[in-house]
Amino acid sequence: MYEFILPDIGEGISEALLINWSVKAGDRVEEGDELATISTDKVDVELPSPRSGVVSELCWTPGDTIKVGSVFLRIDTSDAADTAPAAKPSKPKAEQKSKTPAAPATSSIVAAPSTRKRAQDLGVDLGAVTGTGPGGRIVLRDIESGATADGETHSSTRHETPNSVRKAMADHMARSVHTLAHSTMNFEARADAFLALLAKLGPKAQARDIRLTPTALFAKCAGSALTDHPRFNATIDEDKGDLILHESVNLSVALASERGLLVPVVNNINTMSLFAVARALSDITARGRDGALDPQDVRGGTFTLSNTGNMERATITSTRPIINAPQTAILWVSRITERPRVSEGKLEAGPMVSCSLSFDHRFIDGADAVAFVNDVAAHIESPEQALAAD
Amino acid sequence: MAEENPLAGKSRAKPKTAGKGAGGKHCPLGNARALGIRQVIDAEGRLTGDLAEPDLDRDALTRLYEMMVLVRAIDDRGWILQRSGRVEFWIPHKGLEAVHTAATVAFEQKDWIFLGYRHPGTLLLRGAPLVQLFAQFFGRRDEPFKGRRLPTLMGDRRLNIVPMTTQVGSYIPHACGAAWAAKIKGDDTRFLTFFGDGSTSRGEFHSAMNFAGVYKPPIVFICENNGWAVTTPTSVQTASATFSQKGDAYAVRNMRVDGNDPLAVYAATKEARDLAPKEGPTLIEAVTYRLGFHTSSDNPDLYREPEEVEEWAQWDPLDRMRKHLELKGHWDDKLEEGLWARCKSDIDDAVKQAEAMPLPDPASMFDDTFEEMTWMIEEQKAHLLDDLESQP
Repeated sequence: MYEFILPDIGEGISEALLINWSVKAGDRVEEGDELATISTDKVDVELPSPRSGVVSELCWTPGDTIKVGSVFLRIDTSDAADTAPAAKPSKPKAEQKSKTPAAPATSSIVAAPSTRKRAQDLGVDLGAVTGTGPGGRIVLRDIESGATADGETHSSTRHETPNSVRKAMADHMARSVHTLAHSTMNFEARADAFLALLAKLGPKAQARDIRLTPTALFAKCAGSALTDHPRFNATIDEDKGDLILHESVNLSVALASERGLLVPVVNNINTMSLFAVARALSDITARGRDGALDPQDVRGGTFTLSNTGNMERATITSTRPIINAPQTAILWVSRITERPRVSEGKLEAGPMVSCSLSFDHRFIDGADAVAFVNDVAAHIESPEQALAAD
Repeated sequence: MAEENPLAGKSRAKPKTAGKGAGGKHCPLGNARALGIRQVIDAEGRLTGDLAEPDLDRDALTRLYEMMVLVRAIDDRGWILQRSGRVEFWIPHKGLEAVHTAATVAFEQKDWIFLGYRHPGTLLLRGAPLVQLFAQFFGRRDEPFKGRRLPTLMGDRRLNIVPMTTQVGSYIPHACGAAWAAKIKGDDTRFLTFFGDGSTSRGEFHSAMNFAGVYKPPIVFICENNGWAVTTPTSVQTASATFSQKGDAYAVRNMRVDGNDPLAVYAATKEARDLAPKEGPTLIEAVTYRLGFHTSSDNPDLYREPEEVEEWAQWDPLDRMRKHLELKGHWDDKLEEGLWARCKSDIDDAVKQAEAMPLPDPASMFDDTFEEMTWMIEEQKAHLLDDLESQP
């Protein structure tokens, strides 16, 4: 099995956006055949295959931002005339040094010789200094800010005054947590068909200049379930104590921006096609990141979807999402990753997604939540059904 | 060599290029005679130029062409290797095959060559095995630079080839000084150096030219004017009409040749080499074009028009040389097919062998800097080894 590690194809590229795959799992490729188109901050490029063999796994979906150094795809080279793998230089013998682990105070310090010299002159113990340079490197300012006349080090504090977005969000979050009766249900779903559908439709979307993301398809899956479970597509009139059920699904989408968390709304996703949802999401997230949202863009949501997949490097298995009041529920979905699972009594690896649904237990019972979760999971596992429903 | 006033060309039958590339907006080669760009063959490989056909026999001509094709095939493969993460970096040379191969052939093995970028053919023509080049691209331990240089920046002391210094133009005075040393010592070694149009804006170029004009060392300076110094077009590189005329200021003999015409490059370089012991230096401006990216870190779509590339592609040196060989009855489709197949399979073998070679031990990168390691380098080395130890 050959793992194609995403290379730094442009001298200092740290990540790339996957535009589309040119192959699918099971395809036979020859060395040099085009595998995918990626976009870096320098150029859009077609990546050729480094080896001949059979594509065994596409590790990402179009729209994903991939770090250089991650496994990009796997190629089964067993039946191909595989070229010899690069001989690794012999590492310094591990046994020799493992008997006495080097004192952490010296081995973990990363600092330039000039910084070390300065620290020595000032009598600063580098082991006690927290580096603020790249990768935790100790830089001159760390030494100089921490040193006092007598060579003692002291800790410093910093005050952060939240901006208006952050303040509004803080009030909103606290009020929701203090008012609503939060209950959370965590579940998992198989994502084989979900990924296959994205892979199938990705190039078509691309051809129409649409970025088809997992979030768009999750939105359609949730939207379809919401039509059948109106209590989750509702808002609360706290003054009257009424639950207001909505026919149209106006989806609030959690979006991390430089100025803080934003939750813009895409209206009527239940009557929109998948591509239309994808387009609307791209548009609104772009405007959110540019700080170009209008007030009406963040009003009128009836349900919230939060997908942290694009940011996740760790595998997050559950969260406790806070409901975006006055709504009654919020769904969080994870990045899709390969995980162990049982199929027909056998342990296997396959793509899975974790989900967490928080709902307001004042208006929604556990049984309602189970029914809703059943449908959401079913739609994720057979997304074509969710698209057909409208 | 029959020399004619390039402007007198109008008296002869105008070369017929069937409109192909002639009088182009971007590529001057269709209008070479009027622009003083010396040519032997036209776009169709016909002997219509104002330079006399050089004295090269069938073997020499086909060997030159075969090398140009191998050089192109290396670029095709290198690009794929870089894009698929197997080679760290790539400096493409597509379209630039003629200048360095023909100039190398015009020199003798004992002569010294100071390389620029994009010149793999020079090493191969002097006998470096293909696997040595690929071992350098892959940064393997047992190539002449011990896996420490940027891929494609080649050289080999054993072959009298000085590797390019990445700082463009910085080595022109070195080449000039070495040539002067040979003259003082009285041996008959001659010198050749390549550099780009951008290098002529550096002080070193002018220092070397001035020195060359005064002391007349036996050297040929070849300025490969490929139209772009990374993203800088010739129009803002210099206000001079040509790069060759810069030689006039320093009393250095100079000429302009079609850099996509290997026969013109050979003829001009051979003549310059022959004249070197008596007359000293020559500055040759070879007018050519980089069809590919500047490097693998570049994106030429951001600064040049696709039409420009298309126009130059009609003057592809490989096509012209092949057509010339065909006209002479030295070449056919079968030979062409066989040549490409052989180049590809030779490259396949070289890739396989080179990639299987060991990488250098990381600790070795501190060697060869000082005769005895300084405390600072010792410390850096210790840190690197610690870091490697702590990684899984």
